[in-house]
Amino acid sequence: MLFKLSIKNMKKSFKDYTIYFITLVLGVAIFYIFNSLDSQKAMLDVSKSTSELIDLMLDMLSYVSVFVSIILGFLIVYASNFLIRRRKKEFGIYMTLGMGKRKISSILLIETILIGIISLGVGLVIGVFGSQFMSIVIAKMFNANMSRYQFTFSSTACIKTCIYYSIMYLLVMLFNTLAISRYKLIDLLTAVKKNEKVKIKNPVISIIIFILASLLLSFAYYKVTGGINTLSTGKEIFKVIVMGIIATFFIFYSLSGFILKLVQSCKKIYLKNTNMFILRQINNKINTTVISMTIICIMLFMTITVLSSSLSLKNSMTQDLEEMTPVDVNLYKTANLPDNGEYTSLQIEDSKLPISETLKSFDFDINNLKDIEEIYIYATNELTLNDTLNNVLEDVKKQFPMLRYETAETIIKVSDYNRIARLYGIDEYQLDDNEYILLCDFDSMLNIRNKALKEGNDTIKISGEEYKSKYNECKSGFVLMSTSHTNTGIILVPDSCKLTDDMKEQALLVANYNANSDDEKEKIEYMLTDTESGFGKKCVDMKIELDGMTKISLVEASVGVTTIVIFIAIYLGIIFLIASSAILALKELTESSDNKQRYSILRKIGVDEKMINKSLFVQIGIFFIIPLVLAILHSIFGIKFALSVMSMQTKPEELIPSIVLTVIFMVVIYGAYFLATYFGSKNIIQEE
Amino acid sequence: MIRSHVGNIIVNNHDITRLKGNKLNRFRREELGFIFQDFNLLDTLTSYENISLALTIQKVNVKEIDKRVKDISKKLDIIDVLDKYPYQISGGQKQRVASARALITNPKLVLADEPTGALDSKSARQLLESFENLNQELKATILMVTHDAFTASYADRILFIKDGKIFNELIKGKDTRKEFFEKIIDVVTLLGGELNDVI
Repeated sequence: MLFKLSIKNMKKSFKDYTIYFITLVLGVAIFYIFNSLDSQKAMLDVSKSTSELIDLMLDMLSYVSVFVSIILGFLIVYASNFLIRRRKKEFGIYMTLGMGKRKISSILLIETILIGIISLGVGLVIGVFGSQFMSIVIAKMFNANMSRYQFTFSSTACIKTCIYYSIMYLLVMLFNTLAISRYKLIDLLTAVKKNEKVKIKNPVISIIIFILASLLLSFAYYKVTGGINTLSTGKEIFKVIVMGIIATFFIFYSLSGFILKLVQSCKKIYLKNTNMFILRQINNKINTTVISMTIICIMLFMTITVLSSSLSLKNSMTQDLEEMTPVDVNLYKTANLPDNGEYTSLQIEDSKLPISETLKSFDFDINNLKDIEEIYIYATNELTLNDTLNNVLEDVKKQFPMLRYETAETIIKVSDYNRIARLYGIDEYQLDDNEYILLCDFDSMLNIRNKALKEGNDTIKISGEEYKSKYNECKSGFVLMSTSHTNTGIILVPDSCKLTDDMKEQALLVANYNANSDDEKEKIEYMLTDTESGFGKKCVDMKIELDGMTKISLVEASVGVTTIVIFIAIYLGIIFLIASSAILALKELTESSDNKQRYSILRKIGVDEKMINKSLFVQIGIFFIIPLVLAILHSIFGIKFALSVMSMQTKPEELIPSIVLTVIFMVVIYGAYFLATYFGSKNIIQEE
Repeated sequence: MIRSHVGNIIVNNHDITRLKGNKLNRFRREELGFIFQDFNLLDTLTSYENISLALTIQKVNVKEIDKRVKDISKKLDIIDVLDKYPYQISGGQKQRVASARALITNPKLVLADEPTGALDSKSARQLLESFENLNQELKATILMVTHDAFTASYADRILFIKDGKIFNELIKGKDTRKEFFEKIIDVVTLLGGELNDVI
């Protein structure tokens, strides 16, 4: 009997359930897709390091999933609350007929279970098919070949989804039972008639609050852009975030009153068609929804910022990567190991040889390499950071509290550097006998070094000779490959400089692989880097530490890291977007059903359907747009902040593709929810 | 409005049973005014806005709206409550605001469904007196449905309806309201003690 009632109820209130149901299904599907990536991995031809990166990503995604399930849990509890509210009268009637609260709870229980099972089923089916599409995306992101396509199904992801959702539905049941037990019969029966008390705020106070909130927001905006240098600690950043949230809250709190006053003063607009009705509706609604508006706005803000900054991270990282990996391999080892008993005589002996000799002596065929250049990097205790930065120590301490000032500066002979620069295809430099050049391309260090040079610290002393900086600023350049610009400082000195052998710090070898295809390159890379290969094994056995950087591993690492960031960003972005759209949609549907009476009054005084629908459209539109506009405004500053924290110098036009992608994303999901809300509301306010 | 299946309804020389779509909407908006038992005021709007809404949807210009709202409010004695919201004013005032909204468009015919039903006797009398004035000054026909003999006694002509059929007709003529009221009571007694729909 109860089961029958539940099914009939669901059929009857199908329209109300649509948005709830769609949201659940989407949530399940996305949850499955992002947790089923392990089964996609099997299809890909990837190197060992990429495979490790994908494992790392899976680990991180599973942590993020916990967070996501918390958000979804809140959303589901909120949505089911909305559905109960809509049916207060129905429950009231059951109670007058003698049905106990326990039985009503069990009706709800059956409904929750039914909806849960159906949405889980449908969601999983969509998820399974969606994940097939996802494997193509992954392959593209990791630059991997799809060796064999096969239809995959991840049972672990499926079980995980079921468990997480069961917990969420259990919570919903608990909340529903609680909600029902709190209701009184009289409230249930009169729930429909009860008009929300119309709270009217003093417009003058609204305007004052609005102005104050705007000022606070501008201050927060200034802090994350112009005043970014003052945000050195997490606490400071947290303060600005709280400021932003408070300002957002009060802007919503006062916005409607402010706009109302503004439009009211222009009678021509206010007294036109149903404008005043629309405005009053909005004013009335916003009053009761300030908190949810704030939450929605912040979630939208996070979606936009996270999506666009992570997508642009990929763009700028790939660009940097190409610049920073001009050759196939960098090898380096420490020169001049001290004879203090820590090292074997073989190690000490080897440290005096150039790298090419080491390669030869451990049977690595040097013909595998071409374009070989070998140089020495020098360092001396005569010239440390303390010497080059002593006039700006305060700044350095602020930026790099961990820096040790007795660290020796890196010194390279200009002709050595130029050989490498020629191979890399970057700028070469010329020096007179008493000049030096400082090279640096790591942004925050660059600023400090430039300041030091400009403020007069432009002479250095090596082996008793003085050298003066040729330029009053640092020049760009590097010798070690990396995933981004990380050269914190190299001093180029003329070849005549008296650099003794004991100042040799490191031997460096740069070269390309003598290969024509990627496969051959991989083979050489394996011989050179893998500890299982003949050469690698010998090095390990003799404890010869030969470090290196290869283009292949740098590219893989960089692509891997950005991909992980992007995946997590998209995962969170979609969830935030769905959650905020669903809350907004449900809120609006509740409003429409609560305000049915008002629309029937409009009809009675002769407003035609077209005008009514238009006013409904405008209302819902404004409700969807207001948090979006503020969120976009937040995002403009949020993205700027995110970029500068990641110290990426991205030009605005480089951001365009990622912003366009984000916009498409938003328009599709947010827009779909908007339309669903409009048609749902139209249905609700229609007269039977 | 429910469409009638038989007969014609002629208002101002137009057969309204034949009107359709937009024309019907326009007729309803411009020629008819409605007053309801439960007022049907929008709780989010002030009295002024409730009254002016009837005009804004007809796209009347702003100055005209202001003038007409003030005019009708003076006649109905609700100038003091124009800036108040429905929940801040009494039932009688609400009904007068609703009447102002119905009358501000200068309708040919005002349909009033139990307008005094939710009012106490003092407010009811005030309202009916204003109806009388409006009827004479604005030349608006008021068609009122009521169960209450006292309310009916303010009319010029009464049709008694019992079980869906016209049972009797009374015309006030030169009677005073008190004499007319007694005549109504007589008919009601004849009808079986209880008053049915009276027009």
